[in-house]
Amino acid sequence: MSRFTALCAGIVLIFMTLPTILTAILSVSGDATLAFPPQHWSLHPYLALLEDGGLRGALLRSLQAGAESALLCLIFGLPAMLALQRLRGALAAAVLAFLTLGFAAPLAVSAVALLIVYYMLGIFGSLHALALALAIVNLPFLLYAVASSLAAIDHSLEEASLTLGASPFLTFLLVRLPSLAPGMMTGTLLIFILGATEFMVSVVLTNVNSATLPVVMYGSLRSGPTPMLAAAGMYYVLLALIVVLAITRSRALQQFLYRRSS
Amino acid sequence: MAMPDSADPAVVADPPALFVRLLGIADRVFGGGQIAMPAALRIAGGLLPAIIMIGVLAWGLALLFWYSIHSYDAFADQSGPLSPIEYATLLWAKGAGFYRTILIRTVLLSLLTTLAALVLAIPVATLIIRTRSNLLRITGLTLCLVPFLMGDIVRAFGWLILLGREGLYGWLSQSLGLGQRTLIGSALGIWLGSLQTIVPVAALILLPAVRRIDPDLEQAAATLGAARWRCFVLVNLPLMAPGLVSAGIVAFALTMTQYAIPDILGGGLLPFAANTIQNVFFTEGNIYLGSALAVVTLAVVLLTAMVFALGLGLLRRWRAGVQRRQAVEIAL
Amino acid sequence: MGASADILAGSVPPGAARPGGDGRIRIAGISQRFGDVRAVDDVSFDIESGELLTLLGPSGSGKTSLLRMIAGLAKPDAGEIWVGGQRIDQLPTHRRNIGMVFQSLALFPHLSVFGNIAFPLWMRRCGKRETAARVREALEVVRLPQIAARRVDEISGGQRQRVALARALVYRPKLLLLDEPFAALDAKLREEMQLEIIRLHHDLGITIVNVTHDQKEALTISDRVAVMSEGRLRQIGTTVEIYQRPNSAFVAGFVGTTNLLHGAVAAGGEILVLADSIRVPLGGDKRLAPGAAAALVLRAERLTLMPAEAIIPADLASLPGMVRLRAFQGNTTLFEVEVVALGRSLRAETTSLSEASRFPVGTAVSLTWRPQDAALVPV
Repeated sequence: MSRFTALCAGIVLIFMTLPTILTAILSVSGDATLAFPPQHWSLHPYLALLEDGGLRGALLRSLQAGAESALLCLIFGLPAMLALQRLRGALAAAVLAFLTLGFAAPLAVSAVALLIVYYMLGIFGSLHALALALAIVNLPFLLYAVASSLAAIDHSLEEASLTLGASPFLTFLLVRLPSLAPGMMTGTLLIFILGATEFMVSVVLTNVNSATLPVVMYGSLRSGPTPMLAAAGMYYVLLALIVVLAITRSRALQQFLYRRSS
Repeated sequence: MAMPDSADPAVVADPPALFVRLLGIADRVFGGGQIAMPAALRIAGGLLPAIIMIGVLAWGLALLFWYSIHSYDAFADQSGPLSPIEYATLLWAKGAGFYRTILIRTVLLSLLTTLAALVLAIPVATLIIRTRSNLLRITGLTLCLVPFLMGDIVRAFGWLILLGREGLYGWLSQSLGLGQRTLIGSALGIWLGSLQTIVPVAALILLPAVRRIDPDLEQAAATLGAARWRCFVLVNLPLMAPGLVSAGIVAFALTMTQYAIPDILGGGLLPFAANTIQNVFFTEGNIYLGSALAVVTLAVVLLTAMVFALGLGLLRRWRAGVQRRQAVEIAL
Repeated sequence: MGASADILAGSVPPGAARPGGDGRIRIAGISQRFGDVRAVDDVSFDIESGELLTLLGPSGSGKTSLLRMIAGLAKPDAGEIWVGGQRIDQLPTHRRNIGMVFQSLALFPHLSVFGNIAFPLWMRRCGKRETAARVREALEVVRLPQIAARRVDEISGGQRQRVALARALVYRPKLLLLDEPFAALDAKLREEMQLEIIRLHHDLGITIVNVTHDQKEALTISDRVAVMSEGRLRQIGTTVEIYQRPNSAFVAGFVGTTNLLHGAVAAGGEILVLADSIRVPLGGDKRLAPGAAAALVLRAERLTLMPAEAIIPADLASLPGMVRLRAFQGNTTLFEVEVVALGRSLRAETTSLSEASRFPVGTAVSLTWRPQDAALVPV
């Protein structure tokens, strides 16, 4: 890698981080309205956010929707991927293509498609329904993460387990599942954070009672940005940072990011 | 079981007896996993819940399409007869210029964003793959993943205070005596904001493609007389092409259907397709026209993806053909 | 340097000059450090034009680092590299006009065989017709005329090796560098490629620097061998010199199947005193003064087994022992003979089947050798 490449990469990375840095600076602004540079410094926005019932409720709903969607993906996605592994050829490809429909269809289109169905089913506005929608559009992340773990499995380990006297059930439980755990972990964490920060689907499928933090922030932005919103943004940045640091340590992320098929 | 030398770090404590007992019981309950169940049934059992879940979306998409090919009876607020009228309103009828402008703007800005994002993503992906420093690699990955994961609104918020009148840009221009300027409401603002969303995604998709390029190939090219830029054009770029196409397809699809960035950074002045879908659905309450617009958006995305993929295929075939002709020439 | 400038500009017509012309190389005081580790430590030697020199050493000995510095893929911290009277260590790799075959071969997967071989000619802006002619010529040189249109992942391992060679030769560099390209091959193919290198070297007269950790390969193909360890040049010489007159226990131990007997020189350099006052005669190499600590290099194939009761001729040295292990290896048979007096085993090798069959495990034998066949090295 040449110095030129490294320099370009550095500039691009700084460019991409600049808005976040600015958000961080303005999140400790003591001013009433948001303006650069801040005239006063204060941690007040962070505390005020947690005292503001509306925003705190929205943050908690976001976390709940993210967690529920991740759980749904795990419960529905893991058995599907294990079953899919035993299919071959065009059928397997067709099933996989169907299960990753959430990637193929743009979020803006999926959102209105789900809106129509939710109205028919009468579940529009429910937070659980939002979690289901988030699970539907983000399921591919779990499938890919588990698939890359599956591809990296050393089958001789399972064969060894069988020759050592473990039943197929115990082999699955004690050998296969632990080797899938990193993939499941990575996929689940990704879906959790994507769900908690999702905007497009959330803004279409929530009402006043179920609005998540990004939706509430969007509403407040129209009446002008405040330091409290910057603080709310920083909560998300920190959440994303924690998740990223957690998963970059796992080998599963490497397998997922550097996977062979593209 | 007593171990002779418990100081040996390789000696691991036995699992608790209770755990082993429970495993044994579970094993017997499940018959060792050898339940007499046809394989097809087991596979179907694993797949069915997920298929039903995704089926909700498939159903919704089918309904979208169904609505889009019907006219809307505004008086009765119900479905009219089968008709291409919604598409006509969007694309070719008199007065369709409004929607055509939006579609063209969306496609053009998306193409520009995609192109720039691919160019900018290459050095980032190269840095992450090739650096020998683990710290640099983790930093690069983190700086790509965090903006990807923190959500549209937080990203848009960051740009709002960067480019806004009250933000860094306004302050800088004020300090330089140019008056308090803003890039909010300009195409440039939308472009910059979109780039921050798309560059990390493109870089992450490029990672496997860059990783597949053996660094020895670049060194070989150098010993064979290729300067660095020629090596990049003749070796790295062709080898990255499939990754660039996948990244391009995803980047275009994501930019094309953005909502928050054009809405917030465009100041509502430069709506994209997604903003217009929302508008038609919620403000005008016309799900028939909205559905048609959603279908058109989806069609543009899919068509572009096909064009990208086909283009790559044609390029490869052409190149293979040239090489074969040259090879045949020397055999004569 | 008119000639080399012409080659750089790509204007040398086919067949104009012998590619090996003026491939003299001078390595002068080359050092490379990574932090405190000296990967290459003040190495200097010359290579004659048209010579095939092998850098031999264990992994981490600095041989590959040195090769990469010659190619310009790594930068020396000190020293100079000259090729054909031109100092090249400041030139970027792509302007050095050096051919290199990589361990991984580094064939471009997106190009056909033709494209791979034509690549360096494109870089030199050769015309279409000349490119075609030269590629055909290069393919003939490596005896692969029929595969130009194939993809590089469709051809066999041996063919890939030859394509990599053709690609490194097609622009007629003065110098060809081989970075262990045969290390990953199976034994049979490796032998075949080694012979191919000898043939190419003879036919083209090009200067070749080969890197390997395989002492057998080094002896097989080289004119001269430079043995390296821990970044230092330990000995450089013809294959015969390296084999018969190693200058250190390291070189002696690295090349060939060797027994080293440690002791002290005595009686004016005529005798080596081993453990327990066992004395063996020396072959007249008087480089070491009496009293000096030394090691006797006994090559396994220079040791002959004789029945214990046989009378040993006066001009042979001998040690009594017992056969502990006998391994038939096809062309040779390997013995491990325990010498109780020394408290250790020595290895002996014979090509004679009848001799091998006479000494089953447990036989008492005498290990004999001619004193002049055993080199003495300082320790």
